Amino acid sequence: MEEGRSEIITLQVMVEECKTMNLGVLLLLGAGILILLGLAQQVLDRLYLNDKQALLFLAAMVVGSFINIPLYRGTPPVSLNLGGAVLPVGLAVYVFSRAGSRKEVNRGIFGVALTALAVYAVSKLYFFDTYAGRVEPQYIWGILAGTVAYLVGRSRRLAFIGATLGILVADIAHAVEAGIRGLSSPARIGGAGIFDTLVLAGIIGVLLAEIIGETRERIQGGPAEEQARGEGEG
Amino acid sequence: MKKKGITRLPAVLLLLAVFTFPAAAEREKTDGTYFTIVDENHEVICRTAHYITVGDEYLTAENKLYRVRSVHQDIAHARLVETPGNGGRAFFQELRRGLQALIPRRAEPAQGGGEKRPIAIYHTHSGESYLPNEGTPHVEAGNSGVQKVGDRLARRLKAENIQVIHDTSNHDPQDAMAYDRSRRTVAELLKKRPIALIDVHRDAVPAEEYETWVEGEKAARIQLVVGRQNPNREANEAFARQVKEAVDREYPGLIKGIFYGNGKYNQDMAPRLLLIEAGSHTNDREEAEKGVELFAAAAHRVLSTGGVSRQESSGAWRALLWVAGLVAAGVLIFFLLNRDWGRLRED
Repeated sequence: MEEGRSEIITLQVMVEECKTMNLGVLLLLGAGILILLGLAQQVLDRLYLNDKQALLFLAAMVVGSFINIPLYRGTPPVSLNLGGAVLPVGLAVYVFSRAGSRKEVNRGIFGVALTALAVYAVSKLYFFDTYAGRVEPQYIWGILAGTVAYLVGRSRRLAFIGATLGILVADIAHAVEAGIRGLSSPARIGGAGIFDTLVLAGIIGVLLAEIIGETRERIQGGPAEEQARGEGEG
Repeated sequence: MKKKGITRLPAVLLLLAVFTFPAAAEREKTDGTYFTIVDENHEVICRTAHYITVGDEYLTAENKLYRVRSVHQDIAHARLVETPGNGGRAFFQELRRGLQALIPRRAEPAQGGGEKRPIAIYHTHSGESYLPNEGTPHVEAGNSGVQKVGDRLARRLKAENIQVIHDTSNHDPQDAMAYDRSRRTVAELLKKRPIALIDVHRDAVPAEEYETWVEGEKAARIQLVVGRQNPNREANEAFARQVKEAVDREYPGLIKGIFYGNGKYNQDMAPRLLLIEAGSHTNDREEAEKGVELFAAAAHRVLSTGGVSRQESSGAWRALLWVAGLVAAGVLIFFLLNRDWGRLRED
């Protein structure tokens, strides 16, 4: 099953690599994609999708990665990638729409706004991509979004919504800025498909919230939880 | 309430870390300083504006490989880890040989006949320019210094009957998301099935660092950059080394060196993605253009065929082992985190 999925996405690259051949490169590509998809599936598990739906969703994202939808052809040109933007953003909106209480909705809106602001502000304040320092810049956005969202909502779902929509808003802000300054810089939102920062930020956001949450529960909640359960069962 | 404060501590610390890491890096950019890598005898190995961290490596024009042991302010202290032919990475070479025995050998790619795939050229920092010509280190609105240098590179490769796609997508306005945006450019370019991709940049150090004379003409040297944090590192490294070898045969010293930096520079997107620094912002642009012309003349064969796949493949194998190890570690951590301790105790 896993191999089947990897084949779809690497098809193009694989066909090329097969010609000049490169078993090592092929396996490496396959391994990289399997890891990414494996992580993505873990994430989707926590976003109201069962295994079958998660697989279908991933397949749609992979295929959708090859489809760009032009939105605006002026300066700057704006396009949306189906797999890298439309689907993840759609999922974020869906998860958000299922928020139970008004409190959760408020936290969600606050979380998204704060994440978008943080991502955009950090990208403007620090030019660390030129002189990449200790953390790979692409991961920063996911780490930032996951952290902010966790601080605001302390939930994995909010981390996903915050990270995904946060990058989207930062991208839109960038396009608006380019437009105001008359730059031709294309805004290809989600343009790198499943390898896009928008997708990666969502994955990192949820995983980070997961790690912080689990660690916190182990350190503080763990023993108390066990005790409570023991009493209940006893 | 007190408990709530404590539980948020890890998150707050992480947030602080995120903000302080880039803050430290940013210092180098704004005051126009650069890093100097020195060896054990305090001899200068190279100067570059790339942010240098412990573990970064530098392969000099003479193929001496240095690894950074410590960084104090703008000085990085490095130690010689490999000289030509000493087999400094004996363990990996043995491993490579062992694995190669398992892989069926392939013929080298055809150099003449068969379908020809293009070479793609693009610019992540699309505004980088040369002070003596553009009068500013950065031109935001397009038609910048590096784009002109990229154009010259494209023309020289075309003269060798190679199909070239020169993508001049603008990734400005300047901010820290340029690589996130050029990633999308790379994705677009990959649909055109390039054999290799070249991301043309320029450095930001004093001009003499890059100045050289070739056949009586002044030219700017070229530095190759390979990201250490990417699953394609080995494949990209092998390709960079092949390109350097090819240029070394024709114009020794034109390639200033290969910098192995802490990042991935989108090299995780393709096994043959070359990042080049064509001179510095202080060099004359004509020198940079001369530099890439010589580079193209010497390296066009390797660039247009993707090099000898055997070497690249073994690099990929090595990377695969690392990936497998990391996955195993990840699965273990995941398992430990998700273990139901309560139930385990009951059992």
